[in-house]
Amino acid sequence: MTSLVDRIPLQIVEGRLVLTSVIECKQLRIHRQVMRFILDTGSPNSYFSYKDVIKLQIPLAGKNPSGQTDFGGSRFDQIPLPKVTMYILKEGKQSKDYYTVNVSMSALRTTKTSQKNIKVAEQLPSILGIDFLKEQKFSLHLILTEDLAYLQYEG
Amino acid sequence: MADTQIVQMLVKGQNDISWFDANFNNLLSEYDEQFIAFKDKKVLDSDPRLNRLMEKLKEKNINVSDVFIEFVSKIKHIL
Repeated sequence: MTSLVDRIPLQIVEGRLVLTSVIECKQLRIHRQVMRFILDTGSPNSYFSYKDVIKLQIPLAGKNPSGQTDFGGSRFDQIPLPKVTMYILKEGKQSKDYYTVNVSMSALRTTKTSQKNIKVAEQLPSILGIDFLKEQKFSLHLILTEDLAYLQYEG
Repeated sequence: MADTQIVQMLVKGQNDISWFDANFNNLLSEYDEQFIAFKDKKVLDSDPRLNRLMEKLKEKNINVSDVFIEFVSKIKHIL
């Protein structure tokens, strides 16, 4: 039987899989901020949402996009970022502990100019895609009949 | 050895997300179509515009490093 200490619990919020983490990145001047990510297996890549770019005060002005992506019905410029350190809680029998991982993320910058469309773009969450699972060697486990979801390290 | 500050932020963060989920319908009735900032199971402030909410938090000298900001709406986006 798999040890509980190997599991990273996910929360199921409004029908979505949520990973709570603390992130930091010296190059982006982000010092230990709590963040909520949606685990989105429909996305090949991981992104900071436009809302979280604003909250984290990630400077994007003048940065050239590596491409564009459609997300949540809005079109965004994709801005590559330095790797971000992420701390995620492990599930242990005796005490709380965490994994430390370095994650490749891009920032999303809206291409919209109308206030109405900018507001829609701001509503979308940050997501961790398939690249996160592959890069960090995590498997995803869902037993929705038991309201159970978790990641497990397979390295 | 685990950094206790990180563990505390993670545990509190998970508790706040659980609170948000458990109280979503109540939050919807009060803050529909608004951004809310919440921490320690309390809404700190709200605004229909994100930049105005950020300004309000700054005026109150609230450190956003352990605050969640989420948009509350009946409409769900397909990601």
